Amino acid sequence: MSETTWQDTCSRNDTCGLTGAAAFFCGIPRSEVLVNGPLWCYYYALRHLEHGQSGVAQRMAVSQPDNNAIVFGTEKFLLETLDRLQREEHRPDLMLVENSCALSLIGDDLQGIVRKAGLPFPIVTMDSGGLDGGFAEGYAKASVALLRQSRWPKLPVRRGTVNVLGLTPFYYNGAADADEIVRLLTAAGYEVNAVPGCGSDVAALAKLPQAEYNLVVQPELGLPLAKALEEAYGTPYTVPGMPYGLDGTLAWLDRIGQVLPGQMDAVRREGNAARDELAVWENELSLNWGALWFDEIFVAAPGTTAVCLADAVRTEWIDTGRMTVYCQNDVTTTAGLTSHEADAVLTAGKDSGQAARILRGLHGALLLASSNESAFVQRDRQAVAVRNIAVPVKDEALLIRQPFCGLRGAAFMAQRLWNAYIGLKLADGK
Amino acid sequence: MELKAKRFIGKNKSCSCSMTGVWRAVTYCRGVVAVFHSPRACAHIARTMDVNSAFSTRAEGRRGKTETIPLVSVQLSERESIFGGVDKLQQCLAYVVDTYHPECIVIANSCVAGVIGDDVESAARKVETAYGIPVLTVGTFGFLDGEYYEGYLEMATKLMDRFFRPCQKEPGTAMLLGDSGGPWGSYAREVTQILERIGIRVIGQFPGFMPFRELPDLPRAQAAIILGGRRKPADGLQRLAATLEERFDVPFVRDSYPIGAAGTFRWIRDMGRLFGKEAAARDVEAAERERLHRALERYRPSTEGKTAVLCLGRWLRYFQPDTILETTSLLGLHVTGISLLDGYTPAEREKMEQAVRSCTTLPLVDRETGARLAGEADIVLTTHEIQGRGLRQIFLPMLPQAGIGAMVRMMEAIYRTLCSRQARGGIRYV
Repeated sequence: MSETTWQDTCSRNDTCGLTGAAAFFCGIPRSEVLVNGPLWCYYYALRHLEHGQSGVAQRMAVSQPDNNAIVFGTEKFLLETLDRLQREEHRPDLMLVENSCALSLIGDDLQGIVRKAGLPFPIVTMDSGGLDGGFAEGYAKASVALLRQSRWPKLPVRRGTVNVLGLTPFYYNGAADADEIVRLLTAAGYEVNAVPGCGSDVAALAKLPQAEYNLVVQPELGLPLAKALEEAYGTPYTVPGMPYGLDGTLAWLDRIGQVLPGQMDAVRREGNAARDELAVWENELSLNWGALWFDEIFVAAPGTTAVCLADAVRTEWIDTGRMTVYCQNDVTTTAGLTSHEADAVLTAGKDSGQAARILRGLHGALLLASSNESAFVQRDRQAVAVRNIAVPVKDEALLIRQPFCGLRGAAFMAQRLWNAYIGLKLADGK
Repeated sequence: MELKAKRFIGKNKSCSCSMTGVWRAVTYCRGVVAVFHSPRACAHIARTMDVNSAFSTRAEGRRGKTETIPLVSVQLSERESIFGGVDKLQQCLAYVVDTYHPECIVIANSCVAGVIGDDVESAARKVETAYGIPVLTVGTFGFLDGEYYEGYLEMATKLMDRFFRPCQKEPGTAMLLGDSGGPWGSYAREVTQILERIGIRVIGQFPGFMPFRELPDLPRAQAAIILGGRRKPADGLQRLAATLEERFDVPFVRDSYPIGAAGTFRWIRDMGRLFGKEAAARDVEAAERERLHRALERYRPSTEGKTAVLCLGRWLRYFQPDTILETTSLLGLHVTGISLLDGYTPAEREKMEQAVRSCTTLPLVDRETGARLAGEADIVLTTHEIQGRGLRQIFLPMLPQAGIGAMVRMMEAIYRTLCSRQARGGIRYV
């Protein structure tokens, strides 16, 4: 009997490994992606990624093999596409050529085919698609494929330097969060050596081995690369998770400081000043609207976002009667991260039915999730305040690059949560 | 510098996936459960379509029944790619029967299942025999052996063959055949309101938008109305309608659609004849002519003499250029050129050029001239978003738009674009 837990897919939204792998490479400046697969799979990956970064359409191509490729292979289609890209003067620093799931089963020698094309830039090849899992699995697999196929030489370790693993601009507000994490680490005296998949170019990635420590902030994305780097270069890693809230961020830096001491004074001063300022404004808002309270809170997001944000929500921002955390990935058994403040921690796939039942029953609640979940509650006109913390997002314009995480993110999240609360009160009065 | 679409639009054979077509044929059929014999992520693509649909329904201020039926993925993985997926499919179907107690199960097949070579038909028969519940599947596998519309039409045909039954006719009633955005989409709403004014009641929209239990009685409709245009899917719908007429005595009008002004007036007259309500149809036609006249009175003073460029990238089977040319002519717009984008094969380019020449003497220009003319034009009417700053683009809808209502919406979009004083350009969706 299969161990699979089947459930209605409506309470879960993910993309496939093909999208995740493309996301990792699109997070590397001047890299490109060639999807060896049908136009449909390519297009859905592209549309997903376009919401995180403009210009992706010019960096992703597709080979579009037909039925015959299943028998005769995809070489003809791949070489034609690579030839077209050459004629259109694509000269990336790096290219990923990835098979979709069906084409992964054919057994084409991708490396051999791309060698035939004789391209003047490095190419990483991999099988991808839904058979490997979702976005996170694809991202992680691509990062390890890059490491293994690049064979970067071992470098002398530079003291005080860290790589930040598991960041992506294709999570909701991911680019702003990455900026804040790098800013915080720099302010705490660390030198950020590289952020693979989220801003570091090929030259910076080649220096990954010189970091003293790898910090895995979102283990569903970054843990496999951390393990591979430890195996290849002996670089140790730690999994601090994501820093949310003021106290949460300072505690996050403390955790990092335990394995690699930094300089916390400046960051602490900034945190304390932000706390004083926030307290004044929250008291002012409470005067009109009462203390921030929701009967129930439902947090649904990629695993790390969900568990780390949930704790800050309950200990720093909002009082509530019950909080449920719904993780799109299991980060507890894989990386030891969990929410200590949630009344229930559910995992997509395993607990999707229970999550759907709770979603259906939400009233006077706060939903911190994606448009997938908000479509669910809006369908039944439930009185729920919604704030997006994960993709897909269809009902919000977020144009200003302000982080959700870190010290700067603490104020921004407080603002968003207060506005959600006020919005629900106003809607109640209609 | 030549006209270039923002996204790659070259198509070979594999444009879309048949699984989402199967899904769309049953999405809102209460009593049915859909099973994707696929990796998990394929079901998320279908879910993404539903989320998009839910929010566009809300964005247009419409209230639709947006509760979808359960969609369960078999969650094919690496293991099934080696050992086959039929056992897991049967276990999943057993789970579906036990959990949802469906009246019917529909299976859509992925390209992965196609490559593995799973005999889904036999598995469906076994489960049907074991549980006494109808289990339907299709002969297409993802992008292999068919695309979206093949999956959609095959499932619609199977539902009709299996569950429709001869009924006593109910005069003055119609069934809608096809999708075009569902009952809450503009096409069905426009058609429904015209039919109601003629004195005809719509009793259901097939496939996809009626409870499973109501299917057997649907042939009580006096006639069927195809929702479509002169595009590829309408051919399949006409075949479906022909079978419906032959087996269940539900007549329809071939090749008549309420698309464009002339087409709409002709269609209204056809409806009058089909239902024996010619006098009422004449009144409605007069009212629609008056509606068009009022719109032209409002918009033409602002549009007459303004310049436009038409950019086409869709194949002829998906887009007929005559309707937009009718609109530009009615508005007195001066179309300075029609340019075909780079998404055509030579044969498809030839077909589109012929279609353009058959309905206008306006000049077909190359992409370089098109880029110059677009830069000079007041507006650009386009099937694909064009790269370049400052162009004031209006997106020509993918789905056929029905009636004078659709023409008025397009006129309003053109009028509003011409009213814009912003130099930044951008694209407006109708």
